[in-house]
Amino acid sequence: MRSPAVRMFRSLEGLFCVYKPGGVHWKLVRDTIETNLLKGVNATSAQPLPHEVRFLSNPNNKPEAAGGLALRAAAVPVLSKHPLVTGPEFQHIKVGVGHLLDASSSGVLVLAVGNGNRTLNDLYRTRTTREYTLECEFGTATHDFSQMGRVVERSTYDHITLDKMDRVISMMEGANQKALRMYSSVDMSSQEAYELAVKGLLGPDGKSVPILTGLRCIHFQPPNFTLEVQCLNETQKYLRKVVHEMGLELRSTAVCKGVRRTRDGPFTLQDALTRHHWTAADVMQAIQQYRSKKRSKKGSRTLTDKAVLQTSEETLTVSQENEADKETAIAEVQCS
Amino acid sequence: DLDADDECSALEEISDEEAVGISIPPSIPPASNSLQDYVDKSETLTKLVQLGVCLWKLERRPNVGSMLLRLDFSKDVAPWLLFLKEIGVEDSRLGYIISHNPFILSENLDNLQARVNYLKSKKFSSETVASMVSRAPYLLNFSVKRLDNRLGFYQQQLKLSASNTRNIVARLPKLLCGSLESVKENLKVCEIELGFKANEIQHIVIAVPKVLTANKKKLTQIFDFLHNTMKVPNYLITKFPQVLNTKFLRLRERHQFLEYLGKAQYDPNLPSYISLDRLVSLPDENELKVKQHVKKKSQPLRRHLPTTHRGLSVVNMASRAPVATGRLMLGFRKWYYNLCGFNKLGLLYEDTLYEDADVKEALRRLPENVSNDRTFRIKRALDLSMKQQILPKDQWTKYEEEVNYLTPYLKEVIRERKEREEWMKK
Repeated sequence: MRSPAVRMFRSLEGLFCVYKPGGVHWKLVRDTIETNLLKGVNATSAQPLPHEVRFLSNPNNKPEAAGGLALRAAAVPVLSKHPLVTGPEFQHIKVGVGHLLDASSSGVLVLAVGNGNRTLNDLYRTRTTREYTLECEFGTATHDFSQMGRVVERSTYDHITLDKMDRVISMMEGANQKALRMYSSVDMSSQEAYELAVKGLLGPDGKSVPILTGLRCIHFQPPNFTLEVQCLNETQKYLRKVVHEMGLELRSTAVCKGVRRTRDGPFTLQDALTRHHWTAADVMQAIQQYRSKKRSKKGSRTLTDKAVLQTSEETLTVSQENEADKETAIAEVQCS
Repeated sequence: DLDADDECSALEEISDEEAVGISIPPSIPPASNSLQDYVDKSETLTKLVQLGVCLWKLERRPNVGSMLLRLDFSKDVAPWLLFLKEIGVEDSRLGYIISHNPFILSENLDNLQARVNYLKSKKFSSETVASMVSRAPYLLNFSVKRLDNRLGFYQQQLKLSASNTRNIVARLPKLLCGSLESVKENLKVCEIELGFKANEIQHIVIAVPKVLTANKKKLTQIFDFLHNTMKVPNYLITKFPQVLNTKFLRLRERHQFLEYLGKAQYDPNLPSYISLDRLVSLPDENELKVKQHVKKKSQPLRRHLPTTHRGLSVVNMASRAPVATGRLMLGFRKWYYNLCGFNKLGLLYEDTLYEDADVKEALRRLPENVSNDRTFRIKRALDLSMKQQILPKDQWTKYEEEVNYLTPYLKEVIRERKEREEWMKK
C-alpha cells in the first residue's frame, strides 16, 4: 500500500530539461529543483495515523471489578508514526544533471529524477550532439575569450565581409570533418566505414577532442555576429576559443558575448522549463511529455528497424538501451 | 541449562491473577538516536507533539533530545507555556517557538519576566512584545543588559529617534538577536562601497530594516547592477529602497525585458518613466501572455526575457517632454546651407572638408561604396567648376539629404590620436 507521496514520486521519475539562466551555477539550479520537488512530494495529504490497542489506567476510582483489574483497553494513535516525530517522508531526492553548462552560459540543461538517472547515464554514453547559439563581437580579444575578461588586444574589423567569413567557416568545418573521421575508431578504407558514413554515424565513440559537426553564421552585422554550432564532446570554454580563433583567421579579433545551448540530444528549447515553472507540478507535466514522446518514438522505431540494413554497428547498439538508438537517429538527422 | 525451559511454556494456560502479576519490562531502549522510540511512553513528548513541536528537527540538535526527555510536563513545561500565553503569544505559535528555541524552557521564569518588563518600560506595547516574541523565538533568552546594548546601538549608530528604533525593531525583531558585527559590516558597506550618505542610510533602514541583516555579497551584486547597468543614481535608490530587497535574477530579467521593449527609463524627469517600486513589486501574472508575445517577436530572445508585460501597464507619463529646441533654428540652418553654395554643385558638407592628416586617415577607412560615391561627387563638382556651371535646381543637394558619413570615422581617428599622444606623454 503505497502512500500518496510515494505514488507522486514514482510519477516524477524520468528526464526533463530546464532553461538555466546565465550567471547562475548549475548546482544552484539542481538544488532549487530538488527543494521544489521535495516540497511538492511532501505536501501530499498525510496518511491517518495507525492505531494501537493499549491498556490505560482507569481514570475514575470505581470499585474494582472482580480480579482487581484497574486497566481499560483503548485504541490510541501511535505517535511515533506522526509526521512531526518522523519528519517528512522524503528528505532527499536524487536529481542528476546531464551535460554541464558553466556559470556564464545559459540554455537547455537536462535533469533526471530517481530512476531516470540510469537513462541519463546511457544518454551520456551514447553519441548525441548539442546545438549552441554564440553571440559574438569583433574588435576585442580577452584573456578568457569572453566579454568579462581582461582585454588583451583591440583591432579594426571594417575589412571583414560576409564572404570572407564564409570562407573561414568552411575551412573550419573541413578541419572538423577531418577530425571526425580521424577519431572514429574504424579503418577509413573499409566497407564498414562507408556504411557508417552513409548513415551519418561516423564519429568518435566516447571521449575525444571537441568536434564541431556543424558551423553556420546566422546573423552578420559587424561588429556583432551570431554563430550556430553543433558539436560533440565540447565545453563552453572551447566554443569561446573557437570564436577567438575565427577572429584571428579573419585578421582581426573576436570575443564571445554569450553562449546559449538550444538543444541537448532530443531536448530542445521548446521543452525547457523556465525559472517560474520549476515546481513539482510543472516538472511532472514535463516528464509525462517525455514519457509519451518516448512511447511514440518506440512505436515508430520498430517499423523503421526492419527497413534498415543490419550492420556491425547495429548489432553493437542492440545491446544498449532503446534511448541510445533514438539519440543516434536524432544525431544523424542533425548532422546531415 | 535447558531443564529450566520445561517449567514454563508460552502455551500454558494461567489464571487472571497470575497474568496481572507478570511484570513487563519497559520496552523503551536505554539509548537511542531518535525520539520516536520514546514518544508514546513519555507524557512530555506526547503533549509537545500535540502542541505542534517539530521533534524530528529538534532531535538532530546535540543534547536537545535528552533535555526534552528529562523534563516533566507539569513542572517544567506548563508554567513556561502559561507565561508565554500571558504575554499574549497565540496558542498556534507556542509550537513554533519551542521548535526553534527549546532552551527557553531552561531559562528562569523570573528572568523572562524581567526582560518582558524591560521591553515594556522602553514603551513597547504588549501586542508588539507578543508579536516580537512569536517571530524571534530566541529574543527572551538574552539578558536585559544585552537587549539594552542592542537598542542603544541602533539608536546611536543610525541616529534614529526612539519611536523609529521601536518601529524597526518591532518589524524585524531578529535585529536584537543576532551579532552586531555583521550589522556593523553592513553599515560600513553601505557607507563606503555603495556610497550612501548618513541620512540616506537612515531613510533606507527605516523603510527596509532587512538591509541591516542582508547578505553583503547579494547586496553589492544588486547595487552594482542597479547603479552600473541600469544607471540608476543613488538618490533614486534611496527613494525606493525596496529594490535592495528583491531577488537579483528577478530584477535582471525585468530590466532586460524593458530594454528589449525600449522602455528602460528610470529617470523621473524624462518621459515614459518607470518607477522602481512598481518594477520590483508587481507580480508575474501576465507572464504567459507575454511569453507568447515575445515568442512571436524573435526566437533567440524569447528565452532571454520570460517576464511580465509591465512595460505598457506601468509606463508613467511624467512631466511634459522637453521643448524641441531645434525647430526654431531649423529655418535659419536651411537658409545658411543654401547660402554656402556647395549643394549647388551636388556636394555634401563632408566632401568639402580640408584634408589634414586626420581626415586623410578617416577617408582611408571609409567603406568602398561610400568612398566611390564621394569620388564621383568631387569629380562632378570639379568638372562643373571648370565649366563655370552649376547643377539644375532639382539636382541640388537638399538639407534633409545631408549625411555625415565621415564623422564617425573621423571621431575614431581623432580619439586614437589623442590616446596615442597620451600614451607617448607617459
